[in-house]
Amino acid sequence: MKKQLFISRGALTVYLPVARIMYFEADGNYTTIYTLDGESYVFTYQLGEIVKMIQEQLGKEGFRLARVGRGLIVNIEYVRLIDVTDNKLVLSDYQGHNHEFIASREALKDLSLLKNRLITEGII
Amino acid sequence: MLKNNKKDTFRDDEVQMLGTVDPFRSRKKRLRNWMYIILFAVAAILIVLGLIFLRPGASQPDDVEGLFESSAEKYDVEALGTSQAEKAYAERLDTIVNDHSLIIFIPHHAKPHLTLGNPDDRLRKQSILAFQAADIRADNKEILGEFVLEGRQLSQGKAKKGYCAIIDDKVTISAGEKTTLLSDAISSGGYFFRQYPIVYNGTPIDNKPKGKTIRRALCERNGQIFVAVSAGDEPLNDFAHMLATIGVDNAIYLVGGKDAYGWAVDADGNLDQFGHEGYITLFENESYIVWE
Repeated sequence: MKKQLFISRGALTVYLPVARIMYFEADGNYTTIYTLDGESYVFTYQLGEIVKMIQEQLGKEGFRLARVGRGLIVNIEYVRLIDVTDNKLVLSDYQGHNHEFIASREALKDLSLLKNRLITEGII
Repeated sequence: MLKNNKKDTFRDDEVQMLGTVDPFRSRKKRLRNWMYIILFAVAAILIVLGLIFLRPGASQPDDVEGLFESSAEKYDVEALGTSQAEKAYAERLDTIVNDHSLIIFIPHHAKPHLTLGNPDDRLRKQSILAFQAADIRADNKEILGEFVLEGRQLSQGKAKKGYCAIIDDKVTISAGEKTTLLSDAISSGGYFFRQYPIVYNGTPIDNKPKGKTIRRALCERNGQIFVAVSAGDEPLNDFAHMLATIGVDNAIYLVGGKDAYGWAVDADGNLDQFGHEGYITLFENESYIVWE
C-alpha cells in the first residue's frame, strides 16, 4: 500500500498514503478527509470529484476505498462493524477510536459482501 | 452539481469500489494463467501416456458433457436427424428446482447479438430465441447502464453490476464495476449490456427487487449459455438460489414480469411467445438479446 493521494486547496497540498486515510465525509460542496492519526482536512470539493481524484491517482490501489451512499467514502480496511438491521457502520483504528455512521441497508449489505470477498480472496 | 456540471447520480443505497482495476479479476487472471499451465502439462502427459499404452481400436474416454448437452444431442438425433443437424433452434427443458418449476431455453446452432427497438419482421422470422435484455430508466426512458450495440456505446452507467458481453459471437456473463470487455466490445463491433448480477462464481447474489413475478436470467454453466425462466412468480433471491442449485456459474437478470416480450422457436419451427400477444413495444430503447 505505497500509493499516496494528493489533494490541493489553494496553496496547500495534503499528501495522504492510502493506508492512513480512514474516511471522507461529504457536506454539500465540502468534503472532509479524516486520517488514521486523528487529523482532518476540509476541501471545497464534492465527493464525486474526490472519487475522480482517487481513481485517477490511485489506480488499482483505489479498491481499498469504497464509496458508501452519496456522502461517504471509507477505507475498507478500517470497517470494524456492519449492522444491517440498525443501519449502522462503524470504522475503527483498532486503537480505541471509533467512528459511527448511518447508511442504507442495501449499501451496508453490499459493503459487507465486498469486504468479505476481499478478505476471503486474500486481497486485504 | 459537480464543478464540471455533471450531475452526481450516486444513490444512498449504492456502494462503489473505487479502484480502476478489479482486484478480483486480476487475481483470477493470475489463477487462470496457472490453471492453463497445469492443464497444458497434464494434457501433454496424457498424450504421451496415450501414445505409449493405448492400442489401436481401444475405446476412448467420453468427453465431459455440459448439463444440457446430452439431451440436446438426443433431441438432435430424434427430432432433426443428421441432415438437419445445423438448423438453428431453441431447445426447451422443463425442470423442478427446490420445488419450483423452471424452464430452460438452450440455443443451438445460432449466433447471439443485441437489438434495439421493436423487433422487425426479419428479426422475428430469423431469430430462434429472444428476450428483453437491459432495463429502461424510469425517469427519462433511456437505456439503464452501459450498453454497446455493434461497437457503438449508446448508454453509460454502472448502477447494475452484472454485465453480458458478446464479442465474436461469444457470450460472457460476469459482474463488476470495471471490465475490459466493455472496450473490447466497442473495438470489436460487439455488444454489451448491464443487469442485476444473480449468480456470481456459483454464489447467488442478493438484489433489491423483492416482489414476486416471472423471473428470467441469462446463464452460463461450464461455458454453456442458456436462458432460465421461472414458470411461476418468484422473488428474485429465490430465483438466484434456484439457478445456483442447478450449477449455474454466472447469471444476470433479464427483464422479468408477465409483460416482457420474447419468443422461442423449437426444432419443429413451433413459435412460443411470451409477454403480451400482438406485442407493440412501448419504448424505443427496449433492447433484446437474440440468437439467429
